[in-house]
Parts: sequence; structure tokens; C-alpha cells
Amino acid sequence: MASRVLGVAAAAAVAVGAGCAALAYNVASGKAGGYGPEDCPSDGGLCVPALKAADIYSALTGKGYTCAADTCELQIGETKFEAQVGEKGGAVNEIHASVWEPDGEVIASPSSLAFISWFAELPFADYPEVVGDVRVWITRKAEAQTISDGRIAGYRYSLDTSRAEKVSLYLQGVS
Amino acid sequence: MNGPALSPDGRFYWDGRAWQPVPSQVVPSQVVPPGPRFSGPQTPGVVRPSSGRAKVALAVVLVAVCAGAGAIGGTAFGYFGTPKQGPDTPGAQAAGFPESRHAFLPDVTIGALVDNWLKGQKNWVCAERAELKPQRGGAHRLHCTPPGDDDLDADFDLEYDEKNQIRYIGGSCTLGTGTVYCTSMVVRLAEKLFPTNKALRAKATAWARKNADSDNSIVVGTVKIVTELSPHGVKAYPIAP
Repeated sequence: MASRVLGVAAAAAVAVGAGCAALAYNVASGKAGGYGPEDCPSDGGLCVPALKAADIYSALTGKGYTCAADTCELQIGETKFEAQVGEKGGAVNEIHASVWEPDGEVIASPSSLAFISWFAELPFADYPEVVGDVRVWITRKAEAQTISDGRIAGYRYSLDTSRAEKVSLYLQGVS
Repeated sequence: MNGPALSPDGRFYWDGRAWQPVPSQVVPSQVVPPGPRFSGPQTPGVVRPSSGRAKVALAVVLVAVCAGAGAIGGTAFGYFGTPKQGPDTPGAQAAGFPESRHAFLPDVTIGALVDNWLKGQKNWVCAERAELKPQRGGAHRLHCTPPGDDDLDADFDLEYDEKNQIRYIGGSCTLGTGTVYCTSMVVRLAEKLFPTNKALRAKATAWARKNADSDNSIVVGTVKIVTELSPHGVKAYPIAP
């Protein structure tokens, strides 16, 4: 009789343990996965998962940008669009994008916003809902015409719209 | 020490699992054996903690331990074993994303501006000069001056990639504000910028007549025209959308 009780208990314990493990795994993996940065393939630091710096260069050269070393640029009239992509092991570690026009006002320009937003949204390109949030953040901060720092899903953002003639964005994976 | 253990009052005996009422034939003088004792607040007839109940408790503990271990293990494995997700490719660029096709004046060519107008009609001289490097991303920079430039002191600078890809036109005229020659340079350039769009051409030339001698600017279509007083001149270039 006693051994039967223990047998049933052992079976129940295994079943409950497995159930708890599965539930905990799902919850924890949901928290841990998603769209945050991960360890870079080399040289330490945190990088955007999956995305390769070469793919960014390719996307920009496809639009007529000139890319050399880690910098891509395009000049339209007096306005200069420039981006630097920091890479580690081919992965994207940090991005600096800027729009500059001497004696101009680039803050209000839709093309400036489109340029800056595209880089800001890169880590979340597969997540439309986050892309929308990032775009809203960029738009609001651009209107504020100041230096804004923020963290979005493990990435640190710094947007400088304090000068009418220049807008710059810096983003880096932090945790 | 043979036979069942009795309670102190002799009314119950221990059958190995619980206290049972003593049947009338059981001898009441038997001594209570060591082991299970009838004591404390327990009352006869109530089931006492036994090895069976202990096993149930053990089973509960076992289940609880397994549940806890599973939760901890699942959490650790799920948190540390799940890779982050990222995009395989960059996202699509929004409408208005700046690209090279925006970098050229939309409707004007080297042929129309330089070959037909400056060289053909005005007899200007245009050439690339080694000391004048492109400043705005162009592949070529053409410098044009009127015949006898030393006397007129006017010029046009043009940056372009291909002959239908003009990035920038800048003209200077130091003959003085209000002079017909300088005003004509500004107005005629504004006119030449829009060879096929009559409305834009009219808008540009009307503005140029009023503003040739001022520091001012206007956007006509996707072209920005800027007049300057110091040095006196005019610039035209495309604007980002």
C-alpha cells in the first residue's frame, strides 16, 4: 500500500515538475527573447542580432550613397546625409547618422526624418509595432529641438536636434 | 510483550495503524508495550499520525520539490538559452528617404545649359580645372567664364555626374548690384532651370527679377534658388524631398 502511494507520488512529481519547467521556460524565453541586443560575434560589446553591417551598406549603395570604410554619405544640394556603422565581427554594434546643411534647417525636413528614423528602426525591422513606437519617439524628440536620450528594448538612443542646421542620431546596444 | 498494546485505561488497543476499541474478551491487564503510546490530547478513536500519513506527506513534499526544481530549471534554461531575435535585412525605407535621384536638378542638362546657352549663345568658355575639385559629391566640376573674363568678372560653376545629372549651379557677378549684366545672369539662369515646365519657369523668373539684388531664397518645385549680395551671385540646387 505504502509503496503504491510513493509510486503515484513520484509519477505526479515528475509530471508536475515537467509542467512547471515547461511553463517557466515559456515565460522566461518570452522575456529573454525578442528584439534586444545580443553579444557581438567578436571583440565584446552588444550587437543587433542577425543584422549585418554589409546589408546596411548594400541598402544604402542601392539608393546611390557612396560608402567607404564604415561611412556612407549622400549629398543633395547643400544637405549632407551621412551614416557611420560600427561593426564587430560583421554585426552592427553602433550607428551614428546625421543630416547637416550649413545655414539650413534640416529639422523640419521630411527627408531628414525619414533618414534618421530608418537607422533608428533598424534593430526592430521585423517588429512593426516597435518600429511605430520608435518613429513616434523620433518625431516627438525632433519637435522638441533638444538633446534627447532614451533606451528602447536594450538600445541606447541619443538624438540631437538642438541645432536647426543639423540632426544627429546615435544608437548602441547596452543591455 | 505479546498481543496488541492497550491504552492506559484499557479500553483501546493498537492494531498497528490505529487505536481500536477493546473487545470484551481482551485481558485488560496487559502492559502497554514500547512504541506507539496513547498520550497527549489525542482521543481514542481518532486516527493517529502513522507511517502511511508520513508517506503521504513525503509524497506532497516530493511533488513540491519537483515543481520548484522544474520551475527554476525551466526559467534558467528559458532565459539564458533563448537567443535574441533581429532582422535578417534592413527594413524598407519610408517615402521621402533621400536617395541619389534627388541629388540632381530635375529638368536641366549640361547640353541645354552649357552647350546651348553659355557657350552657344553667350560665347562663354567652359572647362574643368584641376584646381577646382567637386565640392558637393559630383564627379565633375565645370567652370564657365564670359569671353574676356578679366573685364567682366563673372562666372558659373557647375557640378555634375552625367550630363543630365547636374548637382549644383553657382554664379557670381561682381559688376555690382543693379547692373543689367548681373541681374540678367540671375534671371536667365532661373529661366533655364525649367525648360519644360512653364508654370515653374514663370514663378522662378518672376522671383529672380525681384530678388536678383538681395539675400533671399525660394523653392520652386524641387529646386532651391538662392540669391546673395556678398559675393553677389546666385545658386541653384535640388532639395531633399
